[in-house]
Amino acid sequence: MILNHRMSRAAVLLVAVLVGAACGGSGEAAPTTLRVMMTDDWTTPPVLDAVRDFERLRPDVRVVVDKAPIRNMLDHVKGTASPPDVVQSHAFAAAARGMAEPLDDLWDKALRPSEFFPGALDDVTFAGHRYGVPLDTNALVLLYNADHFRAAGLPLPQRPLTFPQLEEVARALTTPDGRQRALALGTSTWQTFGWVSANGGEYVRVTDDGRPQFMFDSPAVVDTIAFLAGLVRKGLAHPPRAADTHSSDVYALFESGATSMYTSAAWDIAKLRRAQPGVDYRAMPMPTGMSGTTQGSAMGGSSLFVPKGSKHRELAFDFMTHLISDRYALRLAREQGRLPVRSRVYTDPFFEDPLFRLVLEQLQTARPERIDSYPDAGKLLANAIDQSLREAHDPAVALREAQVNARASVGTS
Amino acid sequence: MRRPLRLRSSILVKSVAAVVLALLLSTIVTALTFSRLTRSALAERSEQLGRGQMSIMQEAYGARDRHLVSNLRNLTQILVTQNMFSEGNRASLIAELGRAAANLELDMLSVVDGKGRLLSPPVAVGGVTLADAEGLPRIVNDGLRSRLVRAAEGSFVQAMAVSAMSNNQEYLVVGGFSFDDEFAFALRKQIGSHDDVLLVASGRVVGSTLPLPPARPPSPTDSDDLPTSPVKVDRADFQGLVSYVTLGRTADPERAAIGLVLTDPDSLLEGSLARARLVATLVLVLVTLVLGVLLYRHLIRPLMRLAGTARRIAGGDLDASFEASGQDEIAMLASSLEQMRVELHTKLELIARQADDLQRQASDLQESSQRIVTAEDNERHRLARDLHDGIQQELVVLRMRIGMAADAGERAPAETVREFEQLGADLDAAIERLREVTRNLYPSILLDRGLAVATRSYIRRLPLNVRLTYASEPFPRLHPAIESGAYFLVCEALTNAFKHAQSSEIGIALRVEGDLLTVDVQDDGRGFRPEEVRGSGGLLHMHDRVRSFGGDLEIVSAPGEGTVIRARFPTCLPDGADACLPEGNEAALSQPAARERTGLPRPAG
Repeated sequence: MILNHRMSRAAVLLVAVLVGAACGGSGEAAPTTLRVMMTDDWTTPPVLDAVRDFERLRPDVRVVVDKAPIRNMLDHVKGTASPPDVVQSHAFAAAARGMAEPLDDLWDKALRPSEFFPGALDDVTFAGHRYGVPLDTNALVLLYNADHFRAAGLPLPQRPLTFPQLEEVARALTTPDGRQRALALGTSTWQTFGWVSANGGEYVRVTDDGRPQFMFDSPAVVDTIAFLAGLVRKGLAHPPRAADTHSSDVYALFESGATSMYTSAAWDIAKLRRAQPGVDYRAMPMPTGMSGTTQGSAMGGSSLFVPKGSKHRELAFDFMTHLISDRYALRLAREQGRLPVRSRVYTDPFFEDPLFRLVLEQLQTARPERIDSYPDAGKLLANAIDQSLREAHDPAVALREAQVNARASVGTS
Repeated sequence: MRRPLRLRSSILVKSVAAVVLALLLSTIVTALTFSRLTRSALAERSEQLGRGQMSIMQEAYGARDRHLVSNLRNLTQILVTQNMFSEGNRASLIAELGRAAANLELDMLSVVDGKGRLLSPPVAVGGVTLADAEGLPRIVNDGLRSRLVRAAEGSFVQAMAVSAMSNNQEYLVVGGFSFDDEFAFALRKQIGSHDDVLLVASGRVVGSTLPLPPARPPSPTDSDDLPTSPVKVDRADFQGLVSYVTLGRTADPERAAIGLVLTDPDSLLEGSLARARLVATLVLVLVTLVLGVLLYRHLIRPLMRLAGTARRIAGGDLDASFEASGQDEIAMLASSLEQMRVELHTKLELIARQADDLQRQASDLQESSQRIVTAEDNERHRLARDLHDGIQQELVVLRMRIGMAADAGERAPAETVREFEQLGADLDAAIERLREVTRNLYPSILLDRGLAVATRSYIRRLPLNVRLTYASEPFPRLHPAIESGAYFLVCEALTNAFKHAQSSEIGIALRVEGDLLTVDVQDDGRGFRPEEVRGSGGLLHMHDRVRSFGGDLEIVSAPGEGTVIRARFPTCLPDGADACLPEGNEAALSQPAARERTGLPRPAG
């Protein structure tokens, strides 16, 4: 009997050891595929090198990188039959739409919130839970071509301009034939939000009970859109070429010299320096609104989240933390102008560059554009802005109509 | 006594070892066969797969080419239709190109005049600018196919140019895709495997998915010729299996190729085999363990139980039974053993009963013999006493009366006196002979002084040279029945030696050792063959006498070599309250009460 017991114990132990060895020693097993969906301008060398490095560290993993435009990333992900494992977007918006996995447990194990900028944490937080990892941060500033200012006999701005002061400067920068105009305006809600925020406005506020309170027809928003539409109407700004004009149109105009100013963030600074190293590009803070008493900007950046249905939640989190590691955060800043989300990275001398310092200062007053959480309302707003800037509708009327429809879209009146 | 189970000698270990060996051999044979067949199939399959992947990559490059041509032609058509090339619409042209570059995911989009010069303001978007605009006419001249051209930053672009006429001016709309890491990753995704992709242009690696991409395209030789079928390369910066598909024309100065870094099928196979071996080993171990446990439970343990029962039975526990459940061979063996045990038990009980009977009968027989001998001795004693007390006394009285008659016959004739004197003398002789007979029948000295003294007294009267020896003086006293048995045995032996052996010298030795009295009678007579005289009365009588006391008799003799008779008596009688009288009890034995207690007659006078 004793022999029997001993044998049974030895057999169980041996089997456990062998099974453990078999399971743990499967280094030759087929690799796991981790599907990562990045925005279309993010499949850049730093990201691809991060992928390579992750695959080197984890030989059992292959990372497949896809890309899609950020403006319809969530719709794109929602439409896929099998969701990717990592998606770059705004995690709070994905969480609001019920698309993101909560990651609080993984945060507790691997990340310290105190290391991140509060704004970056906001981008991944929804209803008190963390649904993603901040990837980068940014803020809209007013980029300008200093050579144009000098050619127009204008002093380089030393402090933020008010909206009226900006209009005066714009008149000086715009050539009589209209081929070179002071500004080029995108019609995306995010780009426009930089101006709205600078004028003290908000698209939406969320009440304590989590309900959205749209403010499309608030004076600050209406006045801002009317001001921008006035710049177009007066020939001081290039009109939008078509509906949903986005930053690529505007960037092309600025890079070619057809525009002296436009609102953008640090990523375009890096891009411009590569494309036109001989041009004196500079930046100033966003204007201080109609009265000069308001400050604000649109907070940029993005975050990564794990869509619901992913089969590799923990592996995806590992990849996300790998991608935001200091090494790649610094490379993304240097090569792509994507600013790190951890304050400790800013001790690098690279961030002493005045252009980047200005963006960092603008981050103090920048606010996230929360309209992404309400896609139907966002489309209504984008349409109203587009109609207003293309002079198809009166801004007040267009925004009022969007406001009413937006409330209806979320069931409020 | 239970012997410890030795692992080396255990049936379990032998059985399991045999099974393991068999399984191991079959696994090795299977693995070798499987390995050989699989290697061949895998190599063929790998080559097919590689060719398929190459084809996919080539198709992907071609698709980009077609995509580029189609989109640029459409864009150019739109720009011409909308009169975008006019000076007044320059801003709109720029904005449209920016939009188009984003929508078409182009990495480069420019408009140049017919001589390849950028328009003013420069109309170039997408982040990549051409290094040498003079190459553009050649792209145009190539027809509607893209070519790989060098970009300003040293990178390469898959580019093409579409010519447009507007206001009698020729314009070229030039667009392209980067030939870089991003394209390599896209290709890897497209082929859907876990192999890696290399992009080669102008003799160097310009894009790859490898974690540590080599600077030069890996090739078995240092020449520019790239292998088109999988070849192993073992270089300091690259080890692996690689093959290429060339792009464009051989005369292309930026000659390009797409390389596929295949996972070595052998290493894949090794990995698979290693896993298979591990799994096989696991299964083997599991099977062995299960077999071992089953063997132990169903074979070894029942056998050990049977062995344990057998040991108990061997140790005398006949009540232990052989038990085994089932109907297998072990159960049959157990059943047979149990049947054998029951029969053995029955037989042993029968034998024990018979032995008891025999023992009882032997005991009865011995007691009977002893009673007979004792009765004989008692009868001799009684006869001796009767002779002594009866006829002998009467003869003594008669002798006294004859003496008195002779004395009173002084007056009788001399002849009468002489007759009386002669009668007296004859009577004395008769008395003396009677005394002799009486002594021979049962000497009183035996009862009074014991065996040694009685024997010495006896041999003194013999006309023979008899030497008596015994170990101690005085010789210990024994039970009277034993002493008389030994005494008369000595007498019988001496009589035989005197009558039949014609001995000249006889030796008697007495000794008590432990609980045995040994009597040796040795003569130098003519000897005899014991087996020939086994049934003779004297010897048989001696045997019976000794056995009646539970002793034994040994006769060693041969013709011409004398005879040794050795008798061993127990110092105690088999049974009885006074079976064993203590040493030094001669005094006690001389007391009448003691005589009465022993049942012996009083000594003759």
